[in-house]
Amino acid sequence: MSESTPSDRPILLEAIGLKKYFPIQRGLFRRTVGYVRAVDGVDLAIHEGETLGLVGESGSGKTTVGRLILRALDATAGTIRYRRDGRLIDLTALPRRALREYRREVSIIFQDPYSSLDPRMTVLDIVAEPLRIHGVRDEEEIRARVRELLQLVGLRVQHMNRYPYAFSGGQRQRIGIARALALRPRLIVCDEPVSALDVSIQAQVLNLLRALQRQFGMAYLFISHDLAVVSHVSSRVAVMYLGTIVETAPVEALYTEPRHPYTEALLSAIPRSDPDERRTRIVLPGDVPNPASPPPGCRFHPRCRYAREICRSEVPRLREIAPGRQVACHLAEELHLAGIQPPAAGGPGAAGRG
Amino acid sequence: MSIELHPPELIFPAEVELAEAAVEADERRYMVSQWRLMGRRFVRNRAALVGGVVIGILYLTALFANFLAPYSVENRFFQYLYAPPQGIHLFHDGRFEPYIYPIKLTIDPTSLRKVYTVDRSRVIPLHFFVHAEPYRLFGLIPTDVHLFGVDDPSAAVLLLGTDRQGRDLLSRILIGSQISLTVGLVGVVLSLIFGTIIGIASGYFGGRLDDLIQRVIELIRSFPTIPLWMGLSAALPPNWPPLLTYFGITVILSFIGWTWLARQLRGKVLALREEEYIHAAEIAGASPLWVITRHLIPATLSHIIVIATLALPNMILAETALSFLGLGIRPPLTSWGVLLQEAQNIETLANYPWLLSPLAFIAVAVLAFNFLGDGLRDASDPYTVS
Amino acid sequence: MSQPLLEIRNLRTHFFTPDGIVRAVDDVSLEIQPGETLGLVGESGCGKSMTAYSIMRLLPRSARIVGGQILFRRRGQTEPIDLARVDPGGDLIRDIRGNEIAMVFQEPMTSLSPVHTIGDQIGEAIQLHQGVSRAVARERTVEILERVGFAAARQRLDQYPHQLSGGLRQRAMIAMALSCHPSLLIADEPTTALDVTIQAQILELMKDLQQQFHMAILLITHNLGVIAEMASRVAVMYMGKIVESGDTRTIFHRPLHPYTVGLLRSTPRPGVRAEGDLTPIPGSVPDPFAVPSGCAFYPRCRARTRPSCRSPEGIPLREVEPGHFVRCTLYDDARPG
Repeated sequence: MSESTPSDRPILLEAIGLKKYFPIQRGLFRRTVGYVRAVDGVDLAIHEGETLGLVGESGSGKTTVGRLILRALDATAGTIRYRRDGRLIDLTALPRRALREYRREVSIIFQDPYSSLDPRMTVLDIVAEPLRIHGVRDEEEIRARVRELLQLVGLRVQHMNRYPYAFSGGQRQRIGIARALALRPRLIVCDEPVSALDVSIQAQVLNLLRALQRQFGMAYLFISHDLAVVSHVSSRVAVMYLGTIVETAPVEALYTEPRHPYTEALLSAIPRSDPDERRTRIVLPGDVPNPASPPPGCRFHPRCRYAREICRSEVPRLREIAPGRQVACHLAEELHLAGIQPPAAGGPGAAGRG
Repeated sequence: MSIELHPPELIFPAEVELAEAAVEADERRYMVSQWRLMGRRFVRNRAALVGGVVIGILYLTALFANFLAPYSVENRFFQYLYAPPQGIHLFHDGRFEPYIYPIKLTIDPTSLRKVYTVDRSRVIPLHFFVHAEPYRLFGLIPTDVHLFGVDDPSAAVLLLGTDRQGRDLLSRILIGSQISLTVGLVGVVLSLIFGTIIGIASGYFGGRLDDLIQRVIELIRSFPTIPLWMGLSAALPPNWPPLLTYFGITVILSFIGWTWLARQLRGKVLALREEEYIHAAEIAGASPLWVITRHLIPATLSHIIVIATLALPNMILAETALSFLGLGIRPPLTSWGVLLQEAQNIETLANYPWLLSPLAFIAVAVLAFNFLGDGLRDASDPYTVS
Repeated sequence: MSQPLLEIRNLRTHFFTPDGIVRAVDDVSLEIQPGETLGLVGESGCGKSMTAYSIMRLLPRSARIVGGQILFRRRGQTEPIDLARVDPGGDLIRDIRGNEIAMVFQEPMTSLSPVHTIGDQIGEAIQLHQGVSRAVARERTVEILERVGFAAARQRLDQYPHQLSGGLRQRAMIAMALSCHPSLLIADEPTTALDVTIQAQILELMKDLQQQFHMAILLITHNLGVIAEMASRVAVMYMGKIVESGDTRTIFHRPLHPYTVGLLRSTPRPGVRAEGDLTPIPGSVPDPFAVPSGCAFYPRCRARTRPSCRSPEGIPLREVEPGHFVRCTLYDDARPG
């Protein structure tokens, strides 16, 4: 693979201090009684042509980050900057009409292969929809483009006039990918694209996504709760907990030597892939706190086994501790956390680096 | 162990092969649209099919009412006031030759009441395609051909009897069905237009607009229906021509009807709005108009049709109720409700029960619509497993 | 070892639908020893859940057991009874269900009643099966909730399921399942709906409890990692049939059936940014109404296939080495040593 180090490439999109609060409304007059802090100060950067994995458990706000970046939701605070013609433009300041141009260049792949395709449309109409929205009128041209897109994702062109119910979950996901590719986007947000699929089909779709990236060079924001899947497709991974990013790192480094206690716990919770694998398991006590009233200080401190006094009072900032590695933990320099020893495929040397 | 066991060597598959299910099924099966699937399911539902056929017959009858009715609405037989229904005899001397016996008014010597007796001495043959009173078919083609009738000008064929003024009830019911069955139709179309636009907008845009619309709907629906209708129809100027009154009534009926549809559609759209294909279109840059016309209306169309079918009998009943109270359609127009108005007192009912025969038509129409609507509702979700 | 707790022999459970017959479970044989964990793996629609529902006799209306035996050894009895022949609505199966065989489902919300408190639901089960008073049942409920790691169990007795988080609900359901000390626990995708960290909690809990109660677990899942973590033996199902079964280590290190191999190779491993791609299984699961004759996996199989793969008599499950069974023509010549 002709991949340079991802951080060498120019930034395609960056989010700074991104926040999204959803009001909690009660009663007849919809009085706002509080806010769910779904995303609470997220900084991230996606470089051109790379895959940034965004991992977190349910309620961590990872899906909301995806929607904010697509500008499907308006951010409560923060800026999103996007590179066009060599300049970074501020998307949050753009008026709605000016966003049309941006919409041509980003797209999304959803989790649910059933809900993501309109059951009343043929494959042709589904895949052609983005083209038509953006003013392609010539039916011959549309057919030709759809034909090409279907071939790209490994579907038969003859099936163009079928309705979605005629396809299996994996094939439906391919249709969704064809639609996402229709306008040749520069960034695709993949929101749990394989979580609803069977294991054998997951691998098909993951391979396809990688092959398409090699061919077209678009960037992916790959949102998933599954660390194994994320590690397979991403070059860098950001870990989210309760609306904030706790750690960002290149994929191998994150898995072998995590620097945030939550990442460590998350890694240790992955069921082992081999019955002989021995691993220390850190069982996190309790549940993720309610995002409407997050704990003070470090949001992870009530469940963190390394927590100290400072963690209870002071919010840790996401800071760079090594090139390409950012951690939001007061104790990042002191802790020696356990990662996953990559199985034989990774070679024994990969584990020992410190 | 006799031989060494190895995991099998696997050949890496090509991309197209990867995606294809190895079992090729009948391609045509997969190109069937939602409507065709609905049709298939609908046809399997016996009751709904019967309902549909009955409704078809009713509307055809209404269309050809003037031709099917032996007389016009206003034709009076002064010699036959409150005549009871007559029987038809189909075979005469072993041949198919329908005929009736004439009736004669006599006074019962003991009770001194008027009694019609059948005069079996004379046979009056029924003829088909007779020339009688002139009328305009579909309101356009002038003609005087009626499906059946009698040639003898002194006799009359009164299959369902006559009313106080000696008017043939069958003819009045048939011609009255034109108004009864269409007042609902026009009313439903009006409610559909209002209900669809308001309901979809309310569900899709949400927020303040949704709040406002929902409160208005609640307000309208919090009035008791009958007094509201009464008030509204009392507001119609009494000097309006009957046709205008007729349209006035349809508007009044749809005034409440749309709230029902708007509520239902709003709920449906609220659920649809969270479907990922709607998000996909929005993220691709689709405008609200695009989403509504390309996704929301097609997705709710089957629902709209079902609601319309189920709303029609209510409209028919509402028209009947209004006219029965003397607030709806007024003579000289005739509807089923107007006909029932004449059966309002207990004495009439006891002595001339055939005046209630419009009820049978109303009941049949309402039941048929309900069966049809239920069938359509069940069929409208072709993606569920039966 | 020779006294299995549960022995399923040639079980067939079919669905009778207007569109035809679906052979959801097609000649399945399994054996579970007391206290062991058997993993049943397969993708959606392979019949693994229907196997469990057949054991519990909780099949949907359209499904019927059409053949085979489900021999279960009741507590303190030497002769097994055949659950396949028991009246599914009768007292006997109801006495066994909950008492000796308990079940944990994927989505706890669907199996806990939303209108009763946790304490009432578990307490009722204890009262019913153990014939104790309400007060005693309540005490035992607190005890069992504490054992499944419910912090402040006594205070939470009067909470409703919707007031609990996903992990706690799953714990409540496990508590309910364990309340009568069953000898067999059937866990149908018990952690699929949960986050990884919560999944880890629940798996640890199940391991602990298994040792404490010495019960056998039939663990049904599509997640090979969960199997590697929990099971001592594995059976792999595809289209209603067991295609391979054996010791977990053998299955992971030396899988023989091309489907098992495909499953293992298509599972990404954490921390490995694979240089090459994964090796997926092509195609998708066939239409249950049109299962290919012979080997049902044949159309997707990427191993060298033989004409006998399409044999209309089907492929027999063969013991290719001691304790390792495979249903594949590739090993026709192998004999157990």
